[in-house]
Amino acid sequence: MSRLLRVELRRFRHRITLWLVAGGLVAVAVLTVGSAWSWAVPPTDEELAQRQQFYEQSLADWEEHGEEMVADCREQEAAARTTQPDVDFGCDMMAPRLEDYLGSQLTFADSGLGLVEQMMLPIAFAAGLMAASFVGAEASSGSLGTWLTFAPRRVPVYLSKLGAAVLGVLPPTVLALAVATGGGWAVFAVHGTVGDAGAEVWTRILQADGRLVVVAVVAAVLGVALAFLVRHTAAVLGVVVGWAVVVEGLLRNLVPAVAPMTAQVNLAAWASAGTEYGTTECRTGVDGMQVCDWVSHEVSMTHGGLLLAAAAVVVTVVSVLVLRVRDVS
Amino acid sequence: MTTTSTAPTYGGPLAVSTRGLRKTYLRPGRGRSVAVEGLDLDVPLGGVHGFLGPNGSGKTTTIRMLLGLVRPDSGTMRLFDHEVPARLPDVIGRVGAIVEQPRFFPTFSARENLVLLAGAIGVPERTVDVVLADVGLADRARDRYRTYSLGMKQRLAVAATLLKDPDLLIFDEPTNGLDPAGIREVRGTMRALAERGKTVLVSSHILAEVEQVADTVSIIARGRLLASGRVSDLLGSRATSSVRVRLADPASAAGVLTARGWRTTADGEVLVVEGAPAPEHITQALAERGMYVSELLPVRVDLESVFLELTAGQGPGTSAWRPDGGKGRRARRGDARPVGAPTEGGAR
Repeated sequence: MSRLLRVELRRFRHRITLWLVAGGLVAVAVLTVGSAWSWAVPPTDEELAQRQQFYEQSLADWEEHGEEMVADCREQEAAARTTQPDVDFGCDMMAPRLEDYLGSQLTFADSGLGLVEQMMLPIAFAAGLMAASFVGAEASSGSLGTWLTFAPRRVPVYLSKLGAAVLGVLPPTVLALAVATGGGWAVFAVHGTVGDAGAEVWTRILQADGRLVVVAVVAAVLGVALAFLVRHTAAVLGVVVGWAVVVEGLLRNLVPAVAPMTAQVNLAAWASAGTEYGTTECRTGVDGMQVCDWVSHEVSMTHGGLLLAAAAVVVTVVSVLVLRVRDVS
Repeated sequence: MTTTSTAPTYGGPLAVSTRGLRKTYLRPGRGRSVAVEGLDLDVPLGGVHGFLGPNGSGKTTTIRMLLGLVRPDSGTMRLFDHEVPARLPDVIGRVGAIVEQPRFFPTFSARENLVLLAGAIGVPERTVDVVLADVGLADRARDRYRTYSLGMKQRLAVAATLLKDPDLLIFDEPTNGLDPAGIREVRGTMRALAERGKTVLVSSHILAEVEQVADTVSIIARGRLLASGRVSDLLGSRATSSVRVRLADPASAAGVLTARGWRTTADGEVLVVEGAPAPEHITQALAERGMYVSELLPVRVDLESVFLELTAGQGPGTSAWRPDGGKGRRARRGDARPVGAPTEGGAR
């Protein structure tokens, strides 16, 4: 088994396609860091002066027409409350405030976690693609048959390829996360906008990094399993796109209740330590009109993690069983 | 050496043995198609064994089943007395095989492909260079596999089988697509391996090729064994004393020869004479009557004629293909004949 695993790892290292995908993942991490550049730069004195000027203009306008504006607001709020008694137009908070005009400076402490979480889909896609390509290329070229004439025990062959794929996707995943995390910090540090990034902030960021490594592992497991089932990388991509369109798109729109079972929600729940999804709940108002409310539902990290793990296990078991009995060309 | 209907016997240890092997494939919309039907195949230890049959007769499927790539519906298989596929892992190290076209990773070099295979069976990397040199690919070892010609691919596949230094080599249609030089090379390789004590099982539908190298053969059609035995026995059992005689007046000559008790058949200016003790008796008999031959050619029975005789009317070998609309003779279990047994409609 370990001999097969070593050979498979060697093959993984020698596949140019995998290097290209890994390079693409790291490039996405670099671009993510680059996108943070504009958030990290503090406003110049000139920009601050301009914002101050806008504030003063608004304040002058408020002093002249403020009472009238508040009265209009209350009138409209009262009209709205005939159908929606709880509505609040915020008429008491209409006076301009300087902090709203100056804006708050984003810091690494505020946005570092978001930067890392942005890597979730690229990591899942790249890891899945690398694993699927690793197995799919062998199945579609027919060299799996040659391989089995040297190593006929199919389950160890499966496990060695699975192990190589999982181990193989880890270095580019860790590198991409290091770029996103370290690069993000560096960008804010260069501009002196790291903020209060203490142990608590770093713990949350590193935990997110760890969860994304798990996402890569799950994606690799699914990529290998699907590639063994459909025997071609392009077919795996077809399955993924089909799932995205039919389940994540159409079905989720038609039956919002399936949202907690979808890949996107569960990935987000796992990667972000919990997430929310919304459904529209409608009722008939006092005037007979239909009133719809946006209702938010929580999905926990545990729910997301368990569901992703269950999906990986089920697809893998099916894939192993199919490989054991399937004729290999 | 002859075969029986179900259990060919070579009187010694066998490298390969199958009994009642059956495999069907489900064809979408066309039901089940029988690829191999109750095949009893014996391959004696040592020498080259030709596995002959028309295209689609079940040769490749049989080989795939022996190698554990395809699961049989029923029947038993043994490699070196190990039941397969159950004990295939115990014996696979003694078996090298090329099934149909060689399949390797196209973007890897030949050497890298072999290094991976060597790694899978724990063979040291230096062996890779040795086997590449053995097949004449040392100079192109670092070229990508996809840049190789078909002949080079075949040679690489042979090199791959040699990595294990196997006792049994299985070559499935090894000369497909090769030029004459390549064919001769593969033939030489097979013979050389047999002379080193290996057992070579070569499947082919090119009879002349197999006849030159094989010591024993099995002939199948529609997944069933038709005949099996030593090539010399197979040919000898069908040896005839036919002689083709060309001369000016075949009709008169036929009269002369028939009067001697020999059978004659006219074929244009040629007479086919059977039953004469030797060709010189024919020339003597004709010369005594003032008739002189311009050409005298003893008719030689070759594997091709035996093969055609045995597979006559059986199409390209699959039960799905019935040129006579299904009325023709279908091979059945028990149809395999001892070599030399009378045949129907033979081209004797």
